[in-house]
Formats: sequence, structure tokens, C-alpha cells
Amino acid sequence: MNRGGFSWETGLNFWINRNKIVSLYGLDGNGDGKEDDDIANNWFIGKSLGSVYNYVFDGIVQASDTAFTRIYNDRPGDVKFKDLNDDKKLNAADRSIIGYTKENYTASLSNTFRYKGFELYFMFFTIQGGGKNNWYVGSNNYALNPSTWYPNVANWLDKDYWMPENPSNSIPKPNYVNKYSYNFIADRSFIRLQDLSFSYDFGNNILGKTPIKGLKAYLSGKNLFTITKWEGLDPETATTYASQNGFPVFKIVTFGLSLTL
Amino acid sequence: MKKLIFSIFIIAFLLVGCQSDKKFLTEIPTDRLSVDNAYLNYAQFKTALNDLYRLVRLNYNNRDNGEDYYHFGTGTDNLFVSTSDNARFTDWTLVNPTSGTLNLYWSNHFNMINQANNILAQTENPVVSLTAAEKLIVQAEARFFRAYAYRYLSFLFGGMPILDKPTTEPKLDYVRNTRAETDDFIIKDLEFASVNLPITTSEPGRLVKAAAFHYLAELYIAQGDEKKDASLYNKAIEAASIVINKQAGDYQLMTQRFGWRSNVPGKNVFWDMFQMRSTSSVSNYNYPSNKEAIWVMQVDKFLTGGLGVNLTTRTNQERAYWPSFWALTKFGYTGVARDWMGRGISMVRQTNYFNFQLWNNSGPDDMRNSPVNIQRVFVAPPPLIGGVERPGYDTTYVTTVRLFDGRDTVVRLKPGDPIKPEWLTSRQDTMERVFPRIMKMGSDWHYAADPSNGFAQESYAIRLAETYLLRAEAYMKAGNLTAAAADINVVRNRAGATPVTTAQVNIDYILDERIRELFGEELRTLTLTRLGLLYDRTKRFGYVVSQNTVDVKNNLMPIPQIVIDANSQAVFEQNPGY
Repeated sequence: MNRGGFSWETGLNFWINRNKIVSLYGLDGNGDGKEDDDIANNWFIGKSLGSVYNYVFDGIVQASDTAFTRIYNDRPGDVKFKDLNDDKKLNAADRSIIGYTKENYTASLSNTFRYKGFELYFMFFTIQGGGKNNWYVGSNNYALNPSTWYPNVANWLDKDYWMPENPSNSIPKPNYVNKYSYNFIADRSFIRLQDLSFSYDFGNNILGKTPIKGLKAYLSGKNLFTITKWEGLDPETATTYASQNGFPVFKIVTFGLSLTL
Repeated sequence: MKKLIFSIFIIAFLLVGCQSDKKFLTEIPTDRLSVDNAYLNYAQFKTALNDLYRLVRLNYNNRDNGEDYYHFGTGTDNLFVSTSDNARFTDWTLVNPTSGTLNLYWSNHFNMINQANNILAQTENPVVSLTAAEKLIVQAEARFFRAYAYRYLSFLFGGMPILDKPTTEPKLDYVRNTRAETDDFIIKDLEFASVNLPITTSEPGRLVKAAAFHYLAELYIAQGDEKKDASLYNKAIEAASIVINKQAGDYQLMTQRFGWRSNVPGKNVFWDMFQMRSTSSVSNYNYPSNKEAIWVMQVDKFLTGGLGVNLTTRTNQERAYWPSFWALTKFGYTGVARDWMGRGISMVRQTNYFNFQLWNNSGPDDMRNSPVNIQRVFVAPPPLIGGVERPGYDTTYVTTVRLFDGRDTVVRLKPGDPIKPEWLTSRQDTMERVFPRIMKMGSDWHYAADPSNGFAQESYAIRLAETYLLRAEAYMKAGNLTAAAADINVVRNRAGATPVTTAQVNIDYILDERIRELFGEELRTLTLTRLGLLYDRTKRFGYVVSQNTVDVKNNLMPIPQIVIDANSQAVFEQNPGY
């Protein structure tokens, strides 16, 4: 768009990808006529790569769930998992694909506004998960299982822990022992303002009589903010709090003058 | 013509070159090490075996993690995790196929099996240069380790798939053998090792004949139980007798003070057995006059590589087993560990059964329960003046304590005054800070006087006292209670304890005696799962949380789920109940 010295350019990128494992090794050990999945590597015939195969989170065991605690030997404050085959036992057979680490779709939106010597450019980038397959999840023990920090000791995050007087249904008790090695998945969809720049070109009218041929002042920033429900350092790399080798995304702000003689 | 001759020459040359297709096509990589080119002579085979010694050492010192003590009996009749009731191997409902610690030890032992199989296969490779004698020794050690690993797995998890060759390609259809088949396989390996290992060694910690006979005795008992075949108990008696009667080396129980600290007054021979090395002498574990040590896990703080990968500055027994009384901030303690205190953090604590009933049953004169070996009275320490401990300096520590009935009382102690139990009323006081300190798990002095890291102590994997207790078990199961009592009494007499009567001998007594003698040394959980008595003993003598949560299924540990998942082409049977 270009009208009266004002111009607007916009660009939209959208990317979606679906894949499916058709065949692995052609093995059928259990003789059911269907090729076997490779559970150890999280590869399932007919499913996408990046599957997360685990128990199904079903809230927190409450003091009133006496039938549940009796059958499954859990205590109030423990995570409640679904007994998928309803055999009154929680074991390996109750696992299923609870999500995928792969994204649902990726998109970016860029805009450039120009008015006289001013130019404003910004670009939003997003990776989205969700959907009925529960795309784009990451394991976030640190935010969702408080005892991961240091068993029995710390409740460093201000979370809605289950306590006898606080019957939370989302976060287990602070000294929960993660006995089924559940990986506490969380959605890591995010929208990020990846680039922003604002510049002013002084132009010939102003510079006309000086020896300077060109002068441009600019202010730009990268990763200025991220909108996400992910609790941790960076949703894109699934970096959690207290990560030993991960970093948050760096925010970079640059101010400059570009001078041409 | 010239051309023709040349062609014939070329063809002939190629034919000669291809004389043996196989030889011609065999790749001999020179840029990397593999079993085929790394193990060629005796020294190289010894290097390969050294890694198996390392893997066994990991059972004694691995990570700075309390769960690593699970196989020493955590959650059974002798130990539990005291810092929280909500801990694996104390609350048995938390033990399931996803336990990372079980997974780790499972992998270590299968790793050992594969490594041993690699070595064994390579000894038969014609390219290696081993003399007949060297070959037998290498095979004997490798087969001992394979037996060791299978013993660990069979006792803890039950029957295992038997692998007698290196694994060279992916295999997804392992099927479990029965425990009897597994134990037969172990026995064959140990029989071979018992014939071919040397009687003595100049290298402390290296395997000897007696070690093989010792485990052989234990395996014959296990197999006798499994197959309900009483003749195997006689074979167990024979194997143990070879060690006891000095037919496989000069072993005897130590009855006199010995070692580099034998002149420390007021101590006794049981105390002498557990002294780490001075900076200039060998440890009492490896002391040449220690005739009781059959197989000692070697550590050395002053040697590169003398400690582990995860524990690089110390061994962890003291830290794991000792109470953190140094961390008290009352009765004169300042929360700072001093040399003589050690720096225990109570990763595991003895059960009350161990602390009290076990020793009451043993009588008053048991050396192993003397204050020298189990410190039960904790006193106010000498004061620190300017950061230096000043024994004999007169001062009074004033502490306000809250008694059980809720009243506050002011306690005034001089250095050396005992701390009374009624002043210790918080959970932390009795579970972590102050409970009987088993002196053999630590040291009353530290290198560079550093209680945190100045500690590196060996462990007995096999000690003659245990051989006696194994033979006692075999005698008892063979119906000879008199001989069983006599063997138990050899161990008890050395400790100055009241002899056991024939009528008292039963498996409970033997298991009790094993804790009294071998606490912190035997892999207690293996003993209990070998006998199928983990549930029974825990139910009667365990910590209350363990008592309430233990189940019959815990007589075997769960097979790691990751193993079952990976074995997609056959069912790897889970143990019942998990």
C-alpha cells in the first residue's frame, strides 16, 4: 500500500507439515498381523514422529478419593493417572501417546511502515501446538513437579501445590516422588516479537549542504517479548527453569547511526 | 606378444592377490580400537579386566545419591531412608519398573556380562598371544565377573536370559531363563574360576580362588533352595570348607589387634579391620597380615584414577551412613563438621531393630556392639576458641529444649557431658542428627583434617566371616544344626559374644548374625531376595513405613520397563505383581 508518502508492506509466512511412520523394520513379534511399534524409541506405526508415550495425567489424588488410593496405592497429593484398561492396576499397559514434540504449525508475520524518512519494521514469529493430537509439548518437570528441584525440601516457585488445606488439582504435593517417571508435559506454543526496528533517514534535504552523503539513525530490538504459557526459560527449545545448559532467548537492543561520507 | 605376457602377468598377479578371498577382504582397522585389535596380549587383557573390577566397585561407591545404597538393604530389616518417609526403597509402593536406580544397576551388570563375553570370545581368537596359563587366568577372571553379574541379577530380579557370547547385532527377542537355569550357568562359571584362579595374588583386590569358592558355596545354597535338592547343600559345605580349611589360601578370622593403628589404645580387633590407609601405609583392608579379607574393593585417594567418575574426591560410606550430629546448633555444636566428627548426612539410617533388638538378642559382651564400634552416646564437644578446638577448656553450653510434653527446659552442659535422649524431640533430631554411629562405616580422622572429602575407604566384598555364615546356613539346611552352631560360634567367639545354642539356630538367627557381622558390607537386599525373605523380614523388623508398604511381590525387584519396551519381538516377562 502506498498513499501520500505513507507506505505499508506486509508479509505472511505459514508452514505446516504432517508426517506419518508407515513402516519400521517389518517385524511382527506378537503375531497380530500388524507391524510392531518401537516403543523404546517412541516410534509408532501410523503416527507422527516426536510422539510422547506416557501415562495420562488425570489431576491430583484428593483426600476424598479413598477408593482410588486403596486400589492404586497412591496417597493424597500424588498425581492421579488414568487406568486406561481399567484392570485396577497402573502399569506399563496404561501408557498411550499423550502428545507430540512436533509443532502444529509455524507462522511469521512481518510489517514495514514508511512515512517520509521514518521506517518501522516488525516481525512476529509463532510456533503453535495444541489440536486434538496435542502438538508441540515439552517436558517441564521443574515447573509442574515441585520436588524435582530438590526432593522434600524446596517449593521455590509460587505454584498451586497440593497441600491438605489446598486441594489443588493441577500440581502435586511438594514432596511428591515421581514414581512412574511421568514427564509432566506442557504446551510450549508461543508468539514472539522477533524483530523490531525503527529508523529515520535524514535524507538530502537536511544533509544538502554538509559533506555527509547519507545519515540514518536507527533503534532495533530482537526477541523483545514472548507470549507463552510455557513456564521456563525458552519454549522453543523447551528449556526449563534451573536448566544446566540452557539459556533464555537473548533480548538484543541496538542503537546506531549509519553515516555515509 | 609383449602385450600378452603383460596381461598374463597382471592376471596372475591378481589371482595371487586374491588367493584367499576372506583374508584379502578382512578389514583390520588401524585407526580405532575394538575388541579385535585392542586385546591381543596379556597386558591388554588385564586392562580389559580392570574395567570389570571398576564396574563391581560401582556397587560400593557410585554416585553421591542415597538410592545407591538400596542393595545394602534400604527399606528392609537393617536400613531405611530417614530424611523422608516418602522415598523409594523405604516406601515400597514407590518401587516400580520405572525406577531409574534399578535401571542403572541392571545396565551396569548386563554391561559387565557383555564385556566378559567379549573378553572370553577374544581369548579364543587365534591372533592373540597368550600363553596357555595366561589364557586360563583371563578366562577365569572373565567368567568370575560374568557369574558375579548374573548372581546380582538372578538374586534381585530372578531368572535372566543367558548370554554366553558377545552381542554383535540388535536383538529384540530375549526370553528369560528360569532362576534355576541362570544359577546353573553361574555355577559353571564359578566352578571354572575356582579351578583356574590363583591361590594368592601380589595385587590387592585381584581375584583369587577363595573368592570363587565363597560365591560357589552361596550359589549351591541358592540352587538347593530353588531346586529343593538337599545334596546341593553338601556341595555348598564342601566349597566353603575349602576356604575355611585353608585349601585355597591362608585365611583365618583375625583375633588379635593388627594393622597400622594396632597401638591405638582402647580399640579392638573388629575396629582394626575397618581402618583406611594412612598417607604412608596401606589400609588395614589390604594389610598383609589381614588374613580375613578375601576380596576387597580397592580405592585410593592418592592415586590418579583411584576413585570413581562421579565421586572423585572421596568414597561415600561415611557421608551416607553416619548421622549429621555435627550439624546440630545446640549443646555446643556449631553446625560445622570437625575432623573427628566426619560429615555424615544420613542418606540412610539403621532401623530400630538393628539399633536395639538385634543387639539385645546377642547378649552384652558382643565386641561389635561395644562403644568402640557403635557410638551410642553423643557428648557436648570441646569448644572452638578462635576456630581451634580446645579440649579441656572449661565452658558451659546453655540450650533451651522443648520436651515431649511441650514444656521448655534449659539444659546446661560442659564439654564431655552426654546429650540425653529426652532432649531430642524433633523428627530431624532422631532421624538425621543423632542416632547410633556405626564406626566401621567411617573414620575418626581424615586426610588433611577435612571431614568432607578427606575420606577414602575400601569395602570388603568377601570376608571370611561371611564364608563361615554361609557354611552355617548350608549345614542348617542340610540338617546338621550342631555344625551350623559351631560355625556361627566361630564368628561370635571372635567378637567375644555369648555362643549360640543348637536350639537357637534358624534362618532368622543366621540373618541376624549376618547383620551383626556384615552390616554395610553384604549386599543385604541380595541376601534377602535370594532367600525370598525380603517381605517377611521387612514386615517384622523394618522401619514402620517399610513395614506398612512392603508387599510379597517385593521379594523380587521389578524388571525395568525400558527393557521390556525394547524387547519388542518377544515377551520379556515382568515379575509377578508389578
